Amino acid sequence: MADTIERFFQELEEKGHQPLLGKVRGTVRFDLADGDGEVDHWLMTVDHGDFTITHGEGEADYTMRTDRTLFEKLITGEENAIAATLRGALVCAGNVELLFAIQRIFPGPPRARQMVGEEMAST
Amino acid sequence: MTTTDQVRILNGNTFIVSDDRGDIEASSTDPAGLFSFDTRFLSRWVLTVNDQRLTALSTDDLQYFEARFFLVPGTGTVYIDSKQSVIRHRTVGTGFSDELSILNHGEDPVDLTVRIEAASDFADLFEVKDALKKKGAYATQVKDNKLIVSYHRDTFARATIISASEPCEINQDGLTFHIHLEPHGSWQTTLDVALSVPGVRRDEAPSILSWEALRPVSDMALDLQRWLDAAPRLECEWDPLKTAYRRSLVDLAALRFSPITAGGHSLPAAGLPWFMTMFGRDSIFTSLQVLPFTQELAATTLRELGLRQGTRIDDFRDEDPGRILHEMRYGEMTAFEERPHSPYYGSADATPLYVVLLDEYERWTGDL
Repeated sequence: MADTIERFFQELEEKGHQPLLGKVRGTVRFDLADGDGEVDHWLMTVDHGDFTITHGEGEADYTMRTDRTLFEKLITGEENAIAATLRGALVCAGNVELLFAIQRIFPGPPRARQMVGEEMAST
Repeated sequence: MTTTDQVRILNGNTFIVSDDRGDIEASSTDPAGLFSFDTRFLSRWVLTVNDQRLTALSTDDLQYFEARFFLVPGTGTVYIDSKQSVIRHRTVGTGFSDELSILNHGEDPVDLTVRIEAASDFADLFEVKDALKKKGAYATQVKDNKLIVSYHRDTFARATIISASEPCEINQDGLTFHIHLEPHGSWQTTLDVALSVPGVRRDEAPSILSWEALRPVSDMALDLQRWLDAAPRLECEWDPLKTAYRRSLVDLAALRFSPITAGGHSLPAAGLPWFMTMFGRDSIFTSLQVLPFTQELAATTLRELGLRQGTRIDDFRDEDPGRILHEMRYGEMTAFEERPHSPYYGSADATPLYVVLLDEYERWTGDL
């Protein structure tokens, strides 16, 4: 399952410019803990919609700390980042504005996407 | 008790609804309490002197964030002849404080047992309305001269931390003071109630379970004065109009709510005290109507709603790309997705109204 997260960041970098983050500037670090307490770090620098992503530690304006299981659900749209923050499953430090900005790149729930697909196919 | 006897003071989404003595005794029919971030942090807060409840002689609503209760021990039906009186001066900031003064008007010294009972059910605002059962676990702990009442459900944690400036005995149900008053003597203490909402912190070093409360209490009076000073001045010969204008500015100040992402700036909430949160329609309308008097509310509304603009399709939240939110909530039920307000987007008019406000804001300010 480790690949899901790696693939997510890889695809994000490959996609290139992301208009949803067109006004965003800052560095975000994702601290992702596995079941044994090992923490995996990803560092993402956003500059007006363009990304630089590195697998490792570094200084950040905002850090998002959670466990790998939850993060995998965030990047597949099964969980919502704001609700997760409210229940303390996702812990933020630094510039919280970046949480609201960054969560835009997470997809919507799979079921809704599927329904839209069906709707579009039937029209 | 009827709602007309209720005393309500607030600071943003932190507010206290008590009876006219300043006591809180929440029940399913009485939505009293100390609330913050859509969670009740105190459902019981009862003051007794020598095991007697008190009676209110009068209550002063000093400011929207401050009230003073003049009390005497005893609950007689017609007339109470008491040699002691109690003044409870309450200020809400991040949490609240009760400055308690007890005066002995008698010719003899007295020994009194002053007790404050405290408890919390940590109900979500939605649960208060619908009287729902809690799914988590409660804990009470006495530590470092503080009473800590807390609630946990998985990673969700909220706590109320109660302390006093004078020595007291603390047990699981409250704080007890044994005091001696000389003839015409007086005694004071400040009861401090702090709130812990872990999960989001402005500084570095994240920790999921931090007992550190959201401090310090902001200077509410100074903040209000700055707000009044920043508004246009109204000069006229008819005093009632000046009074009404000033009152409107103060009421508008009370309606301000500062989201955590706004860097201390405020937007108008939908209504106090139960709707002290970001609402698309209400925040936009109020900002629009007050544009001639203050532009800050519109600027913050546009910025904060824009930051939360919908980007995906989510049927649960009625989110669609481009949509402006309807309502944001912070309580347990929202956190566990038993309610869709994280935020909820189901509103037909918030999005077009956003465009209207954006245009009007530019016309009034020239700010792009």
